[in-house]
Amino acid sequence: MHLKPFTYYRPKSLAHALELLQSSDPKKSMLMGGGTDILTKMKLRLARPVAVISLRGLTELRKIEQQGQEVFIGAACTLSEVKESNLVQHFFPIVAEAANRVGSPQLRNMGTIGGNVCLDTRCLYYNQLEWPGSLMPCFKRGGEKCHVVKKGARCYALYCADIPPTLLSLDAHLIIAKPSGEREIPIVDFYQDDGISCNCLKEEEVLVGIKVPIRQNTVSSYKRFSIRGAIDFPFVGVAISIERLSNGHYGNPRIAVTGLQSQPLRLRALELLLESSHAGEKEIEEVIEQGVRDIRIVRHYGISPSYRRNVLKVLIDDGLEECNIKGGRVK
Amino acid sequence: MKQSIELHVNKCFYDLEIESHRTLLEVLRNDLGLTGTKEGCDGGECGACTVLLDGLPVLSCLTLALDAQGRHIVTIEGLAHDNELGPIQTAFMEEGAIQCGFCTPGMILSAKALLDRNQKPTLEDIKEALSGNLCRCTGYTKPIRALLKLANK
Repeated sequence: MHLKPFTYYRPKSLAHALELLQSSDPKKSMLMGGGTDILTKMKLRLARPVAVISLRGLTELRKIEQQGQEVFIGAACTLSEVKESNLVQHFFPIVAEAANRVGSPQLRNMGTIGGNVCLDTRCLYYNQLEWPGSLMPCFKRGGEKCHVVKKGARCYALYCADIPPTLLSLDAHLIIAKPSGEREIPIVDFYQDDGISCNCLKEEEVLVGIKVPIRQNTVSSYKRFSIRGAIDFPFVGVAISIERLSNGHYGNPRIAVTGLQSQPLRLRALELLLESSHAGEKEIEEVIEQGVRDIRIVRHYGISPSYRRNVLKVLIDDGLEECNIKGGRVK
Repeated sequence: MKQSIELHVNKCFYDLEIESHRTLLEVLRNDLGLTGTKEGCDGGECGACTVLLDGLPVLSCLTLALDAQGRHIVTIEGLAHDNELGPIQTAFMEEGAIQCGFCTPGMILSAKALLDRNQKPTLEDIKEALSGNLCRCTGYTKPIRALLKLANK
């Protein structure tokens, strides 16, 4: 489908980009990283921006560098660049792994890490619908109902991006620029459980980059499950980071998931249970069972909540195994 | 509003007047007549519209033509020289790795990007490189065989 006309800007500096956002009507302008998400949305007529502002010309958003005990990853770096970065591979192999699991090689050469962090939620009745006119508009389309949860009073679209759970498990911070200056927020505060608007990025703001703290003695893993690897988003993805303690035990487990709700989630209940359990391998399975019991999961894409929960348990188990966690100790 | 741009496609320069909302795919096919690049799903899933931008495979249906300015674009038409097919095309023909041919241009360009960076790819490398190109008729066995044969030459 053809795109509708719009004015295209390719600013050379962040200040210019912010100026353009301010001078044009923020509600009618959109920021574009790689374009893989917003151009698809525009083709489906889910977005009709008057102005599109590309971030690919901003050199300050395209660097990956170590800054003391942190690594800064610019929001406009492509997923391929993130995957191939020596710094990312060395300090945060799970971010490189997650970047390598997004879509196909072509999409990874185009899509940016900032785009993945700000990715919109997905739903069979929203952005994968060829004939939207055949259904009453849902909440996300400006209507008054949800087709997924029939009696639901809100939108239940799913958050499915691969990178955010890894960043959540690494306690990353996001740098966000606005006309009056920059702000830095923990990534966990960036998301909200709302299918219509899953993050708190305001219309006049630009995501500049991600700061990930370097931690020694951390083991980590990222596991995801999707129906077709290169096309589908994960219907469950699990990122785990655990610190090795000097006494052979592990500490500070951080587990985050994608694909279950309208935001990526930290599994705090499971983390607490794991932290306090120092038992044999059999009990780890019980701990996982107990830790994921209370997560609310709704039926999406014809996949039942119980199957999704089972896949979640298997992925957590696989992830802990990859981190060499056995019976409360690091092997 | 139309803008003047210069595109560098298959080592030729083209001066064009185009609107900002036009995709690289539309410009290649409709303005330059390079119809080897195919329009499949038009939504970033099938890989039929794959072209090389500065040596990397990208989807031309989700690339604005304006964004391709100043970059080297290679389409399937750029692989043959003086009426002689390129090595990947010849290998595909020899192995019969073509049926309807719709996915072939994209698949060959993905393969070219791989072989340009890694002359001895493994089976896994080849599968990964072709994972973004959907074939619905002949399958992947023959293209993979053609590329393995090239890699072992």
